[in-house]
Amino acid sequence: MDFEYVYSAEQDSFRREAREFFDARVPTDRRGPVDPESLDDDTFAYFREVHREMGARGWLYPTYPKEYGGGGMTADHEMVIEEEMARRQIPKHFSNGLVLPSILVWGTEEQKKRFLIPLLTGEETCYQTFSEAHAGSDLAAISSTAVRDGDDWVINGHKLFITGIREPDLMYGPFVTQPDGARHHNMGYFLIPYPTPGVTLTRMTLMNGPGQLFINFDNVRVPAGNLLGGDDEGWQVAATTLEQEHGGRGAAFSPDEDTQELLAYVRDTKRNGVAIGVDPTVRLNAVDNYIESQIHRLLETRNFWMYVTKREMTYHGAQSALWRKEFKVRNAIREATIMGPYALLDHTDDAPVAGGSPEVRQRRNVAWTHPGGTPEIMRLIIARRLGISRTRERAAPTPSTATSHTG
Amino acid sequence: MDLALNETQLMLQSMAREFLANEVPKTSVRAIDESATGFSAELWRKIADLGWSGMAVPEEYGGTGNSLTDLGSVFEAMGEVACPSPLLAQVLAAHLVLGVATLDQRATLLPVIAMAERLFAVAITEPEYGWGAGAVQMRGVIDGDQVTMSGTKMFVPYAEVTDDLLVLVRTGDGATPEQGLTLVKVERDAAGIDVRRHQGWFGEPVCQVTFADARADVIGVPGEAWPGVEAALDKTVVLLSAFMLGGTQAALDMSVEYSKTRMAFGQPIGTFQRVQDLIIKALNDADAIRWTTYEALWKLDEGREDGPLAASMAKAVASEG
Repeated sequence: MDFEYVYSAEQDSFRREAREFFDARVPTDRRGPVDPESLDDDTFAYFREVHREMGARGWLYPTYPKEYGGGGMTADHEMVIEEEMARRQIPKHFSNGLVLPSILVWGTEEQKKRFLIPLLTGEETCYQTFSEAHAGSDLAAISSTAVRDGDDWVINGHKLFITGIREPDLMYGPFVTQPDGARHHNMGYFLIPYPTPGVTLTRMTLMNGPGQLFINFDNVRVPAGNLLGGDDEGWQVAATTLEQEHGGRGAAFSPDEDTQELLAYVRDTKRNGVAIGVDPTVRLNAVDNYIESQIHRLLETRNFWMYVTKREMTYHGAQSALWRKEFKVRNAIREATIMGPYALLDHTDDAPVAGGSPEVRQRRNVAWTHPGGTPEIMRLIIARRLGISRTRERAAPTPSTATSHTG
Repeated sequence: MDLALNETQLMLQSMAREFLANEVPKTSVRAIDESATGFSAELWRKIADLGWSGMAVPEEYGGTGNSLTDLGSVFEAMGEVACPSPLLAQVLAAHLVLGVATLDQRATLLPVIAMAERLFAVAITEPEYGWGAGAVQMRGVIDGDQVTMSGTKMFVPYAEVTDDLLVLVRTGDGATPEQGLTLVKVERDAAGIDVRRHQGWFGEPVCQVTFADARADVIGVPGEAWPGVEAALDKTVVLLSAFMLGGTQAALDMSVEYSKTRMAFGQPIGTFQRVQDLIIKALNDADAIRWTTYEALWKLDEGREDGPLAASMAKAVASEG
C-alpha cells in the first residue's frame, strides 16, 4: 500500500517549467482572489488572458488530444499544472468544461474539431445549460424543446441556475426533441453558440453572488451539426457529462485552505487574553473540521487511484460528491461556531478574518450543495449503484471506460 | 501510489477469513462472549498456532516481523466476524516490549509473546481516567530492578485470564507528566494483586486490577517509558480501527442484503429512501474508516512524522463514524 504519489523525473522537470511560467505570469498580488465567483472586470480579463496563454501551451486541458487543441499530455502533467495553480490560488478556466468528455465520447470528427479546438485552447468558454424551472434534479422532466426545421433545429424554452461569471461562447445541454417520446429517449443534446439571435442572458442574484444566469431561448436556430449524438440520445450524452460532474475522476491533490485558515485562526486568536484553543468546544469543532476535510481528501484520492488504474467505479463518484457537499456545510457551521460574528465580516470590512474568505464560505458552502445535483440526488445514485433501489444502473461511460460512440 | 493490499496482505486476509469462517461462527462468538471469562483458550491456541501472535515480533525474536498493514489486514478480517480474542492485547505487549524494554528483556520476552507461551495484558488506565501521560498517577517505588506498587487500574482487557500484566506506573516526578513513568511486568497471580471483572456491555472482558504492595520487574529504563508506550499505543489503536472497519463493513453488507430481501408494503425495504439514507450513512462511515485506517497503517509502516496524528484520526473516525 502506498498513498504517496511519487512524481516522475519528467514531472519534476515539468514542474520547474510550470513554476517558472506561473511565477513570471501571475505576480503575487494577483493571486488568491477572495471570491472567485465575484471577480471584478479587470481581474476577470486578467485571468481570461492567463487562461488563453495556458491554452496556447496546451496547459488548459493538458490530457486532451493535441489535434483538438489539448496538450496531448498525460494525467501526470495535468496534476502538476493543477497543483501549481492551486498553490498560487490562480483561478481555473472560466468554462464549465463538463461537456468536453461528452464531445470526445459522442462527437463526430467534425464536431470534435469544430467545438473542442476553441474551448481547449482557451479561445472560447462554455456553460452547461441543464436545469429548468420545473426540472432540476429530475433532469428528464425538462420541457424546453428543439424542433427540426430543414437543416436547422429551432430551440425554445429557458434554462436557469446556469453557472458562469460572464458570458459564454458556447452553451450545451439537453432539449426535448420528441415531446411524446419515451422518457430518457426523447431528447437531444445541443451545442449552442453565443451570441445567437433569440438567446437572452439575465444574471440571477443569489446568496453565493452573481455567478449564475437565467437563459431564455426564443426561436433560436442552430444547424443540425450542433446536435451531439442522436436526436433521441441526449439523456445518454448528458449521463457522460454527469458522471464527470459527480466526481468520477477524483484527485491526487486536494487543497484544504479552508481548514488551514481555520486552524491558523484557532492558533493565533486570543479572547480575554487566552488562546481560544483552550476552549474544548473550539478544539472539537476545529478538529472535526480537519477530520472531515481529510476524509474528503482520502475519498478523492481513492477515486483518482480507481480512475487511473481503471477499476470499475460504481457509487464512488457520487459518494465523494455527497461528502463534499455536506461536509462543507458542516464545516461552515463549525467555523461560525468558533469565530462567532467574525465569520460574517466580508472583504470590504476594515479588518475581516483571513481577508473575508470565511464570510464567502458561509454563503457559498450552502449554495454549492445544488450545482451538479443535490445531496439527495447523490443519495439516489448511490442507492441505485448499491443495487437497493427500484432502478439499477451502472456508471455511465467516461473517456476512461469508453473511447467513442461514433467509432 | 497503490491503494490496494499487496499479495501478502491479500493472502493473509483470505487465509484469515477461511479460518474464521470455520472456527468462529456467530454461535461461538456469542458463546464465548457469554462465558464466565469471555475467553476461549481453545480458540486462542488456534490463533497462536496460525502465527498471528508473532506477526508484530521481529524474526530475530522468533516472530515473523510483519508490517502493521499486514497485521491490519488480519484484524480487518477478525472484525468482520467480531472474533473474540486477546490478540490485540498480545500485540500491544509486543509493541511495548519493542518500544521500552532493554535488549536482554526483548530477547527473553518477545519469543514468549510471539509463540503465545504466555498471555499478556496491559494496564494503563486509572480511576481518574484520561489518555495522556498525566493520567497515570499510580505510584511505584523503585528498588533495584523491581518496583513496589499500590493502586488501581481500570478497564484492563483479559486481566482475569492473562499470565502476565504489563503495568505503567509513576515512579518519579519530572518537569512534564511524560517524565517519571515506568513500565513493569508482573505475574497476574503474584502476591498483592486482585482482579475483578467489570460488569456491563463490553466488546471484550475488561477488569479492574488492584495492587497492594505488589512487586514487579522494571522493563526498560525507569522513568523513561512514555515515548515507547505512546508509540506502542499509536500502532495498536490503528489495528483496533482495522478491526472496527471489518465490523462496520460486515454490518453494512448485512444491511444491504437485508434491505434487498426484507419486504414491507409489498416491496423490498431498500427501495424506501429513508432506509437508503441509513445505508448510505453506513457506507460513508465504512469508507471513511477504511481510508483513514489504511493511510494510518501505511504512514506508521513508513515511519512518517505524521503517523501518530493519522492513527488518532483513524481511531476517532472508527469509534464515532
